[in-house]
Amino acid sequence: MDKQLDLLQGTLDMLILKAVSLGPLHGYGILLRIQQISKDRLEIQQGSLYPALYRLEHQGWIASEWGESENKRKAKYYRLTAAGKRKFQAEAEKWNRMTDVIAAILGTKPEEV
Amino acid sequence: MRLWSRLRSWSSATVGRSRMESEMDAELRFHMEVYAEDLVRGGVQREEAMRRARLEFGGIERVKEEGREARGANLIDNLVQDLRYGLRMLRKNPGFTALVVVILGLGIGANAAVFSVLRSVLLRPLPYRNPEQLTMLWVTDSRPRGWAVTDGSTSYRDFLEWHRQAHTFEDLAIFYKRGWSVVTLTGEEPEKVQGAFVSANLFTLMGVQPLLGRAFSEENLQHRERVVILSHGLWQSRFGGSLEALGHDIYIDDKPWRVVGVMPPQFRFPFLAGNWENRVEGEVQLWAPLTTNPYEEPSSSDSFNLTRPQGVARFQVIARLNPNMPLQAAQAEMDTIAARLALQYPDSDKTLGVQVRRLKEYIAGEMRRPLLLLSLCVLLLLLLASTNLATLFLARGVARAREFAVRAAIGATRWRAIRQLLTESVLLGIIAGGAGVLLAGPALHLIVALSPLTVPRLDETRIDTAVLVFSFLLALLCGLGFGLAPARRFSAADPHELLKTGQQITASSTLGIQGLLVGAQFALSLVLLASTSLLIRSFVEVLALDPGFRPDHILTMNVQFANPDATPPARMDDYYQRAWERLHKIPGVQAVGTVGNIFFLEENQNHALRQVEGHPPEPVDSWTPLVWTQVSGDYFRAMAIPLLQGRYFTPQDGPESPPVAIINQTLAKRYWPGEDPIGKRLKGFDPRGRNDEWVTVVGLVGDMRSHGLEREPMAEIYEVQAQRGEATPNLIVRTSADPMQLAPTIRSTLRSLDKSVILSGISTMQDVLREQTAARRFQAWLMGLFSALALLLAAVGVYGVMHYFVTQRIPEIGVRMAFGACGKDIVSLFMRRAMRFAGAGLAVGLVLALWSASLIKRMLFGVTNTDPLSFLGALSLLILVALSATYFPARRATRVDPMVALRYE
Repeated sequence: MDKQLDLLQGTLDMLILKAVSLGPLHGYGILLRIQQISKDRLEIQQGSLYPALYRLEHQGWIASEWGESENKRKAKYYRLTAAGKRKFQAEAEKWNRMTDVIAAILGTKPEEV
Repeated sequence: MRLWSRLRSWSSATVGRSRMESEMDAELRFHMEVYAEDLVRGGVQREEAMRRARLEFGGIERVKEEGREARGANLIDNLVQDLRYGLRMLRKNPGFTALVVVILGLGIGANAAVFSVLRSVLLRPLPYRNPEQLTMLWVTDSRPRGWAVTDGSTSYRDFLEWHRQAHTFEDLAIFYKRGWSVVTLTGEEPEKVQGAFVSANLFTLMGVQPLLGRAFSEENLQHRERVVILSHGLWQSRFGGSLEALGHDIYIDDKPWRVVGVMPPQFRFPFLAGNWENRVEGEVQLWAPLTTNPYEEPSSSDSFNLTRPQGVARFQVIARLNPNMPLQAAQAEMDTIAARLALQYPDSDKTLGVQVRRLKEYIAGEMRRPLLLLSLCVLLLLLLASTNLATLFLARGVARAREFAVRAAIGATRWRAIRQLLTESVLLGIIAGGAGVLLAGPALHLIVALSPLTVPRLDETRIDTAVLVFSFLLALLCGLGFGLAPARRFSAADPHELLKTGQQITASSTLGIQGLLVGAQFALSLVLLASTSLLIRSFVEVLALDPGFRPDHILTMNVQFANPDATPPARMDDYYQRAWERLHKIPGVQAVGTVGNIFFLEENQNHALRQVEGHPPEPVDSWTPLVWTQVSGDYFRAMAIPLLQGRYFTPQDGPESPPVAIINQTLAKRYWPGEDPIGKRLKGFDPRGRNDEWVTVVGLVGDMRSHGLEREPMAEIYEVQAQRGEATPNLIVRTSADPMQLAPTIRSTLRSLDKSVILSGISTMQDVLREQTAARRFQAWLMGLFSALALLLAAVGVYGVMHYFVTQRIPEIGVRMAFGACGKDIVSLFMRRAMRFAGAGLAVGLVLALWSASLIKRMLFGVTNTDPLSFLGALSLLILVALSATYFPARRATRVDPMVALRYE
């Protein structure tokens, strides 16, 4: 458990978009999926998920719908919208470029400078 | 798409607030329960699981609040809070609120009413198919007055040439109005109705089909069939809206005409132009084929009246442009055609041109200027009201400075304070706007009822959505406008200083902005007041004019024969003779006469005489207005036009005796200045007498203003009806008592002599004259009202500002008085400060007023546009208002007890 990382500022949105891109999920499901994909290496404050969800919905990246959960309960399901898909792709690409650059800088050996 | 989802989410967060809350609740609860169940499955005790779920979830209320924020729900919360607070503030100061609502409500109401008039007269499309394509082809003439065609009409021959040669138009149609057609329906009293003769394609060209029946066919025109189409109004009044009207006959001048159609209620054509004449004549009520005018001589040719060599210019032409055809292209084409016709028919067309005018502009025509002027006035009034409210708000803001300081101290942001103030002022603005819309209805009725002119389409005016939107926007703008100045000012103040003293904001710079606003109000008021006094002075000048006769105790009415052109002169003469004899016997009747026309209010053409004894022929450019007037009976005595020399007409001046005339002073001066005109002889362009005899002048009478009160008298030659034989339909009866009391007796006497005569326009001469001054009276009332409002606003404004100014400076006054200043010093100190701004405003206003007076120069009569009396009067009135509005608050300051004042802090 002490190996868990705190979430980088601003990355939660991207992770949510990734999680729902694989299929509609309710809030708790999103939390579980992120933890599952990250192999429990990320710590997400449970409550902080919801304001992020509302913000994303308000901006039109995701849409919500009430449905039935696995244990026959009413739950709110979120799915990616077309606009959200484009947004996610753009964000992911930006992220990848950024990490490449950062990794390249960090990986530079003294003799290469 | 994204905007849409944002709006949807926002609206569900605001409108569906409770639903959003309960959904958020359910969602979060679901999360914790499922998590707890997972924990239970992992072996944790149920209660412990719930506790941990809640704990790990974090503060649920904070999550919810962040969720609301994310959805923009709080924006509304704040607004609702501001609104509630604003409403509470308004309720707390009912006097202030009422004052604002009344001031602004008047301003917005006036604007809404004028805007709705403007909209229906100038802006709303005409009720025809694609009205933007419709144009009038208006003939211009470069000949000097007297010869020129001035009514834009054309000859039938030229119309046919245009029709053949022009390609920029879809179609051209032709029509003309016949003044005073006479309609007689069987068994009913005859009535005068305005009619128009039109070409068969006119209705198709306008794109309006009859409600019942059909439009005219080409056969109707070719065979000169007596068929008519009725207006909806005439159909209702004469046939009670019955379907049987179709195929029925109505009688026009004793001949039956078959009704073939009824137009829909909103159809009108031609529209009335805005002048007094048309108000009397009324709307066109029936349409007949162009070729059927009974007053035309019959022509063997089927293309009617082409037999006349140059064609008579009498027809108006309406044309529909091809779709998307620019006006300039049509104008260019018509220029070419006109030039071609000028070469082809040099005798008649050499001086003629054609102007292509949009139908809408043609109809609005003369109304444009006065309406725009009126709009300008009401806008000015609203500007004044807003300025006034801004000063009131500023003044009140001073009183609320402490409140805002407290708000700022406990953490309200600057933006929040501005929003609070703006919410209040916009709220007030909108309440006032609502009051204004309620006022606009009655105001509109007042304008329509008082309007002296037939304003085309005025009756279509109503308060509709566009007017509501306009008023709302105006209210919003005003609210923002007068809220912004105080909002900026008080949100910028330093809360610490304010809290310490509560006075910092009242440093003399405050009067800076307020003083400027007060100055602006005085400037605007002076503009209004000076223009008004010029217009009122003009009105008074017109009222004081000597019309050249005594208008009191005269009854006038129009007596017409059913078919005047077919009535032999002998019969008319006989009727008149018998009528006078009978009328004279009525007690109270002093003199009876008739006349062809009393007034000639239209722009009169310049004329000359063919021959004047002992006088060379006049060159055309020295011609001046001149009319021949036919009179009979005791016309001059009935009108009390003074006889200066010679004699009146007598019964001996008959058809067999030599032609005689009575002239007025203007004519005498024109031909025989300084000579005795009696016995002089003249000839008109029409042959006089049986063999074109000389007409001998037998009398000289005083000038009367027959050309309209506001125009100089013109040369006038009176002939006696018995010699001339033309109808003299206007009856003039001088009475010893109230003329209207005799009206029923006179009416029944006239009808008992001949059942077929048509009596109309029964009124006193004073009322007839009043019609001529109606436009001025309307102007004077309206402007007077505006100015009174402006004056009131300026007084309220300066009083309010001074009142607060003094209140805020009570400590300073206390200090000054403690050091020995007396009351007079204090009063003059405050008055000097206030008058500095009023004075500067008046100086600017004087320049503006002089400029605006030069704009209305053409509307003035008997005063110059720099009339010192008007300007000095307005100026001194405003100075008086400024002085008294500052004096009373200033004097209040001197009553302050120095000890109280010093402790005030």
